[in-house]
Amino acid sequence: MTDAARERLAAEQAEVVRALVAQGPLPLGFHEARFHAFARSLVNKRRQALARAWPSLIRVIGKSYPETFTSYAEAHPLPEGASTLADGREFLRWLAALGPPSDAARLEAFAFDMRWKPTALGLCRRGGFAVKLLKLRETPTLVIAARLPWMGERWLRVPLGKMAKATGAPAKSG
Amino acid sequence: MFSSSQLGLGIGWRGPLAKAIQRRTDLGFVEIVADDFFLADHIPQALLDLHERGVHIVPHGIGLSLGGADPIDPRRVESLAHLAQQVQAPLVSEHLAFCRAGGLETGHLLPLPRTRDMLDLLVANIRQVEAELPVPLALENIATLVDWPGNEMDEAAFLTDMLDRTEALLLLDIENVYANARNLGGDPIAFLEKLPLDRVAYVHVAGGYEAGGLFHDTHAHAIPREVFDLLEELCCRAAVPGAMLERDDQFPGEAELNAELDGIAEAMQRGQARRAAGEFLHHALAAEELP
Repeated sequence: MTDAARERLAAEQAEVVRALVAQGPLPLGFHEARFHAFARSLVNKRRQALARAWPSLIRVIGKSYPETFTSYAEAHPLPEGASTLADGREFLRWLAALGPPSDAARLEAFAFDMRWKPTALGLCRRGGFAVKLLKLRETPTLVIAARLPWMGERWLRVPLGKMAKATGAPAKSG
Repeated sequence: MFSSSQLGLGIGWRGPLAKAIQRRTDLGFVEIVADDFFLADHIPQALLDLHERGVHIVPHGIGLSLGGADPIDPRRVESLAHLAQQVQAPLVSEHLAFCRAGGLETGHLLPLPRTRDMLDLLVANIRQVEAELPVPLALENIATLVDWPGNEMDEAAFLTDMLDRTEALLLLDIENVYANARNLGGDPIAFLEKLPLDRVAYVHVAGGYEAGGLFHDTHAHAIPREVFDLLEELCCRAAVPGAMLERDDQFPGEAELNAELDGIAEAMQRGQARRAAGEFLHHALAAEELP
């Protein structure tokens, strides 16, 4: 095929994708109602996939999850790599930009960042030694998460101003 | 060509179904979502156990975007080839679709415009991928709620031309055939009869539901009666090497899952019995007599 034909196809496909996932205009000649039904089905699919893959995040968001996620997804295409958990992480970032997130939401994001690295092929589990800190506000606490060779993850919660006391990690994000 | 001529009964392997799958003793193959394993550090023990028992593992890719006008990502092809070797797959499969364009991901399978230019691009992409794979590649017809304006041919002609120009096999999703016939029009049996059915590597069977006058291919609901019937009609017309259940959400209990698998096996047997009784012999003979 000619370069011109390939470029034309690329432009047409990009127009369809923009209309489906980035609120672009309806491409010429497509059935409008069907196209919108298709776009809605893509958002539903993302919302259901996230609810399945990251249930603890959905619990943190609570009852408003369907409408909140729909507002996010209509304006934000899937991140590169099309990973559902990475979509959840972007959703948390979007929520945090709207207003101060709860400690529970910050803990979910923290646990994700501790464990996963988004790539173009999807999520890659992080390995090797790492230590991350998070200061909770609601009940002033310092959360220390460490990944240690051979021993896996260890979490420590230190009530601020009191003696250290170890507890477990939150539920696994995927 | 494809050497494992009999895959038999299969199922899409999903974590929540692992126990039920392990207990089912008549499975010839399981399909795994290849992309989920590209960055994984190991193959789950439950899959290795199935492989040990002689159950074939077929990696099924979802993100190659074979019909995309952007260049194919070589890392995805390498990962698919590597996974095929890791699980000693008899073949791998992907979709006749595109997933991304203009730097945006959809996380879904989008329909291709059925034009000669699109076919040229698709065939070039398939040949490029086939050259990198250690095993045959089967390609799946997708379900869609929308069709492109300006299609130059019907879906059967598009699939047939693609198969004529490549070594690819067909992964025939009969629920998608059913869904497209309902949503876009057309006779699903006439569609099957237009395809080179000797190129079918295996068949997908799944469920969906109707809402707002459209049939949604969800893989989360029971298989409609009409889809079982379509499988029987297919097996009556061709020797189909295998058929499998795809269930991706709202996982049923083991009894319900087994009933769906039994339904698939029985529909295949009914079709094969009709075929053996010579019901479509005249079709085959008529085809052979053509110049």
